[in-house]
Amino acid sequence: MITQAELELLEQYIDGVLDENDVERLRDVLRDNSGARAKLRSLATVEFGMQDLAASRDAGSLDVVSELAVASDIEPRRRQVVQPTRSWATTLRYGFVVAGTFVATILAMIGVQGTWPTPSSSPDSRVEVARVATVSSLDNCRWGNGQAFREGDRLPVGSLVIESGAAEIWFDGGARLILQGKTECRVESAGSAMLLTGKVVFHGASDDTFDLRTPDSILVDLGTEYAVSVTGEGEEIHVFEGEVWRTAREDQQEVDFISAGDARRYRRGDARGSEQVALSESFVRGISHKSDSSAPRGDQLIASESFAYDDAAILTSGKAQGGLGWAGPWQGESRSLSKEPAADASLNPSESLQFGKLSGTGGCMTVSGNIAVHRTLREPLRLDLDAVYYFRVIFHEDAGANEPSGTVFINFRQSEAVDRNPARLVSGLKPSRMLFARLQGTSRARSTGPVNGTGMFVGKIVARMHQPDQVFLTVLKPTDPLDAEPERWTLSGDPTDCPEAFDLLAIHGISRNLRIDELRLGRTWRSIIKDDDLSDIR
Amino acid sequence: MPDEQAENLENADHDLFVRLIMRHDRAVRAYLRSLLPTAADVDEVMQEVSVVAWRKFDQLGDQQDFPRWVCVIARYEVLMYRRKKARDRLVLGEEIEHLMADEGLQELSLRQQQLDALERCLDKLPNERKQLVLKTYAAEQPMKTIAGQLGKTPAALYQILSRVRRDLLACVEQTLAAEGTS
Repeated sequence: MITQAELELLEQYIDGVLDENDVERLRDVLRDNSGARAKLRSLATVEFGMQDLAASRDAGSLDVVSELAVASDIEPRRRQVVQPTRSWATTLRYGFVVAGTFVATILAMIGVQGTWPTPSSSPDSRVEVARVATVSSLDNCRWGNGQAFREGDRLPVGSLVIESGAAEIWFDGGARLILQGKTECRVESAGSAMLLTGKVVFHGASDDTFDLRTPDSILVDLGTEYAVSVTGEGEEIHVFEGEVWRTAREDQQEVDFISAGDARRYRRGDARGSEQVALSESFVRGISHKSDSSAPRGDQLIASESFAYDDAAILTSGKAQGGLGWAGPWQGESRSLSKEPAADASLNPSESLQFGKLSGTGGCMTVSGNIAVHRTLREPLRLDLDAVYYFRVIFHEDAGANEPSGTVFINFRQSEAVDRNPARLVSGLKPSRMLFARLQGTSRARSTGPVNGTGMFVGKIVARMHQPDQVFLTVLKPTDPLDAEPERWTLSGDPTDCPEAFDLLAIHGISRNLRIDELRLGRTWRSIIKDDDLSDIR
Repeated sequence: MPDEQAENLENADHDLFVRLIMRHDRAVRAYLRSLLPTAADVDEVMQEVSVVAWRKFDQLGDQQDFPRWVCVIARYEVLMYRRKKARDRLVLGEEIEHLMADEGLQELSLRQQQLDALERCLDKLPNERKQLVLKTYAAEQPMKTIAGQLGKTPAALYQILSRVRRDLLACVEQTLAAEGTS
């Protein structure tokens, strides 16, 4: 039973007009009164049903009811009102709209994945070989089944076998799995995987959905870090952060909520359910860039430039041929109406920018005015293939008490473009720290990096042969960790098809006092972060 | 399996899924509405539920379990949605939402019966009142605009709708009690 006042609270909740005090009162009522909860569900059903019927009955205009009288003793409401839902058509058309919504949703999924989203039990059937994840880090990893993936390799849908060591796999959906040998795991899509046997640590973000399945369970996370171990006898789930919902595959009504600090063991075929176990420290929860790599870093670094030159005016002279991975010297570009090479792209040979624990070498490029320089890469960026690229540059601007006004762009384009409007990838940091990326379409996001002083502008390009490509950008502060790539990129560009190869890298800067240094381009995070021992680069 | 056979099987799965989700759409939405503060939230979560349910469709055993199975998915999606909206003042809190979701799963057939009874109860309303309610719920304008068109304050219009909704709820409960199904 509920009182009249409690019923009014429920109605006001449905109408969305409660203030915070009343919400608190409502919680008290609902917490202790099952009848109130049942009444709320019934009220919600009536509310939904009214919207549904209004949509299906083609109600027409309001003119007919304008003469309706209203009682004069009505008390005013306190807060904003809720908008009724939009108009729908007849029942038959409503059915099509429901189906159409579903179809549109599935078509949207096709647009992202490039193929019909088949049920996950048959990921390899009727689907092109899509690359949906990247090997981001390895730690003495020995692959099985004749596999030989390296850091930076893009992974197709299919099986992964690790005999020993560990591998960190970054899924395009945003989740990270660390596989610990001996393990067999099946990559099913950008947002799902199946652990058949072995150990996995999962890192996710709260607004990304990732399905991890095992022979006995379906696991759903909420902003979580957890580990799963699967053997022939059953499995264990250890939750380090967040919460995991474990649904039994046999009986999907059976759901366990496992919170941070808890661990559970499920024995296969045991009807008694699960037992609590101690949280284990034996799982590999991260692979830092200091770990041994199975591949020399030299294979993964594509180009670097530390501006180690003696002549301050060398950048636009055609003689600046230092650094590694380039097919020619730096060249100046005109940024003025006169079409003459810019005179403001200069060097400070004696200053090198430092970023946290990364110490620079050589000098740095100084930007005073509107300058641009470019250089040809020995190895182009191939957006027509499956690949991942990382790039970074350290920058410093003394903006004083004002908002930062400098702009720095790292652009990729074709040295011999045929089209009048050739494709190009533009990425940069605009005034007031607005990140900017353009690859066919344009994306923007405000950076959380430093307003003044030194920052690291970092980008990641995920190139996909059969699906749209994507650009990610962020700005790091000197105090940010560099052990692994950022879990969250400030700007996630819209997926865009761009089947081009870019062999030209250009730096464009506009500022009164901006310095740029330590440019790196590579296939892995590790390759663009480590500064020591460049001598093994080809 | 030959390609054509596999394609036919996939199309059959798709057709079955669409039939099931359309058949149970109203009950699932009613379930969601009891867990979410606004109709717009229901639309948003229902989109995610549809996508996830299709992706997991091969895990469904018996078709008869579909409404409950999809509501379990819906419950997950509500809780994820709730995390995004943690600062929304209308969030009821995890404990209450768990109770509402668990109890709601037991009442799925009641939801469908209530929706069926609602249609009959609506037709029992005096015509003017019925037209007002239908047109207000169907209109694309905010309540304030509708009230203005009727020459009334939003509060007054709200009160009318609230009374009608309460009358309809009472009618639905009486109808189901008379049918012995409440």
